[in-house]
Amino acid sequence: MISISTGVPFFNVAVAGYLLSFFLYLFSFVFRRARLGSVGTGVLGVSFAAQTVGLALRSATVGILSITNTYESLVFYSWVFALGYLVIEGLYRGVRQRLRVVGALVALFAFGMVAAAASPLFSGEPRPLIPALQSYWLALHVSFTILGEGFFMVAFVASLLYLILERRARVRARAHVHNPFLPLELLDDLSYKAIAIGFPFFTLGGLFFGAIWAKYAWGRFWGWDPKETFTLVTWLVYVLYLHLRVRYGWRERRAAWIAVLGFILALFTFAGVNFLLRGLHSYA
Amino acid sequence: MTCPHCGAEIPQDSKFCPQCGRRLVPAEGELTCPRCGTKAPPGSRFCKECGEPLAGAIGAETDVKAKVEAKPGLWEELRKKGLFKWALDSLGSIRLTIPLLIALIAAAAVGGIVPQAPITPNAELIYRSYGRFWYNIIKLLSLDDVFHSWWFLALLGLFATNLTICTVRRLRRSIKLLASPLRPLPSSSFGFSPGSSPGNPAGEAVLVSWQGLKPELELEEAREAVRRVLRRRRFRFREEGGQLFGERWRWSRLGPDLVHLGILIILIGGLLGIFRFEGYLSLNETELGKVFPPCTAERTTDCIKNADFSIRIDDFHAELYPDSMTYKDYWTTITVIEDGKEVLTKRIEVNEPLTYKGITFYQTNYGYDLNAAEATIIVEDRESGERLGEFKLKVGERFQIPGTENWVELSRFFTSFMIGQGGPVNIDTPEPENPAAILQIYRGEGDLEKFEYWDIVFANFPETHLNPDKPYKFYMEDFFVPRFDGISYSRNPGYPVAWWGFTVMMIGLFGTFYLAPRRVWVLLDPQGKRALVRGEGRLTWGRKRELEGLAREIERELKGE
Repeated sequence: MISISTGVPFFNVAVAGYLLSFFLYLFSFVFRRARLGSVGTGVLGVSFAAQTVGLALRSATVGILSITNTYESLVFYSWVFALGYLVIEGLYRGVRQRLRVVGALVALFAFGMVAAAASPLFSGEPRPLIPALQSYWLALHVSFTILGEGFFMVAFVASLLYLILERRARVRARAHVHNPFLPLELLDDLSYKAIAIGFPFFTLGGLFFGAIWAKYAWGRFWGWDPKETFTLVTWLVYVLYLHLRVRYGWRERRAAWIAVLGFILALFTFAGVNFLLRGLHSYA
Repeated sequence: MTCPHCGAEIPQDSKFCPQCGRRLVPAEGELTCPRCGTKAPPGSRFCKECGEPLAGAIGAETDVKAKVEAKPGLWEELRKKGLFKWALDSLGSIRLTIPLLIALIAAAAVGGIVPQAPITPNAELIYRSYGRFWYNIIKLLSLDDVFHSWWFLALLGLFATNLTICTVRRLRRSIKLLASPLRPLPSSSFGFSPGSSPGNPAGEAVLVSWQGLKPELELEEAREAVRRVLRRRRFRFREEGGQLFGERWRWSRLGPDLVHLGILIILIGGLLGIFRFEGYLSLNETELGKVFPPCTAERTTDCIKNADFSIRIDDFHAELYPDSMTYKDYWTTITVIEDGKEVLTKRIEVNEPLTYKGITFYQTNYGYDLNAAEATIIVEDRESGERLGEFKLKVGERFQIPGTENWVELSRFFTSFMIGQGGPVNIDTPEPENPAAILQIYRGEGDLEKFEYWDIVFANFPETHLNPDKPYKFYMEDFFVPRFDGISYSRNPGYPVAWWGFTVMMIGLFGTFYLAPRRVWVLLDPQGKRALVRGEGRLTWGRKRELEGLAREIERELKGE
């Protein structure tokens, strides 16, 4: 029998670990201690591993990748956030320390997601799946979409930090923007890279797999359901980002604003559509 | 074409490179050798340094950023290009793509927020939530049916046109680019001229110097080291004029083309949807074994459109989770009959449809067929308590109370009765939770009939009666309500097309972002004992990091680590 607590001890380790790595990253940024940052990444890695074990256990018990209700989606989101950041940090050998200010925020978001899931607001009890959700396309569609969004989230954090730090730099020294401690160019480059990594996955999961599943379950591959529509809106915003950046050379501040908007839309598609608009995707 | 200064892929006939801003056409008759970068006096036919023919060579290099030439007026542009080319250029321009994308985003967002037409009762819902003013605006612009409105379809049409022209032009350019071999860059574009002092040159290149590392290193050894690194990094490279240059993931240059092509194919698939057809078959459990033949001119209901086979529904069933009121599964067994012969029998479920000859059958509905319910109604005299009769009847049928002129009709049946906002409603529960029936009592039958009053009988609450002043008490002793099964079917010739489009698009996307094409040029300067590494296009922060990674690897290789 499925128990409420399947995987939960591991998720608890992750909750504590994400919070701890947030503080480690934060202190390492504020006090400029590279060692603390490395420890932070270590802690993040261990928490991520623990959460992976928890997810695997839970999925094995439920019999399908455990993303079938709001609780499980939130846990999965935090897992993907950590994954996204770890992948990105791996890509920036040599400048990792400057990246950790992004890590701090990502860890905080990952912590927030698992913590929200653990709150009494959402039931952690695995509920039996209604027939419409009994399909391996559920696992493929949801996991790939969220995987893409995990990278969008890293881009969002980097862009947000860019906007904040750049503004501060402008205000402080109008003549001398280039402060070596502010990784502005790094943040700009990072948000593009993260979007480039996430975009194919988001397209594959959100649009392609979604369309295939909709065809099997509902008999049509596209029907302008609010969730479908907002997935398309989010996708188009990233399309806009890529074209403005590659063809028009939009970078830095203007590009950052679009990356921020894109992720807000992605979040709205996940949460807002379920609560505010009605449609076929209202399962939670 | 390729910019000879920075190696970027640029549009044909560019006057300035859109990436590095340098001039690409002759200025004041001066020429630059495309091979070695030496400047030649006006009128030269061959390069004085290397003998390269200079016909069509590019002009003197200026580091001044390209000044945007005064834009020609609309009329002038029209006259110069001709109407057709002008229209093609305007419709295929990226300057049109950006506002189109923004418009599509805005339109889709509105369509996602305002409840769209298929939700009934839509007009009322919108009126109530938005008020009169917005209701009129919404109706005027059909914002409650955005995705079928003329302006949205026009927008999509414009987008498709823009994309088609862009795709064709870009594809032509990509093919030309893939067909033409990579060439060495003029040494000036490395920020290097023979005899200049060794050091880090200003410009777009990254420096590797073995002056301090291993000054005794021969040129050939250095070249071999660079070769090893390029090979390790999977660059396909050539050597010419003292340079090693090559590319990686060359075919990914077609990535964006594939993505655009894929989207166009998906749009064509969507357009083919106008040839789709769909229908709905349903029956209740007393009718199992019913055959639905192909539709004909005479038979237009309970049949399958555009088919040359019949479907027989043999059985259907639903299953609940143990100790729960949640459906675990519903399924239907259907048999395909063709030319009087049974061809195949399959169990279809939600998420597991059957496709036969292009028509797909989906399990879509399951529940109680309330209109086919049957109940046994007992009539009692209120005063004496005497049982006046027991009648078994179906919804819509009536009986006469013996010895009176009163007739009773079973007008509605409920499995789970509830009082909703607009009166009695039935809740769709897996098992009957509050079975009830509405009875209508008439005086007389046929033309003489006269409605007197109505009453409700509850199976679970037999002593609940609505009309204490009336002479009869009604009870529902027994009931039977059959379950019904709904199968929808459809055929859409656009689907296979759309799947191919998606596949092409995904190949393009992963190629573009995961196997990103790269070009690199390495110039070896034996005098300065250094190598200059540069890539394609402007040296942004990210590109510089990448090139520095390559440079450090070459350095390590030179040291022999």
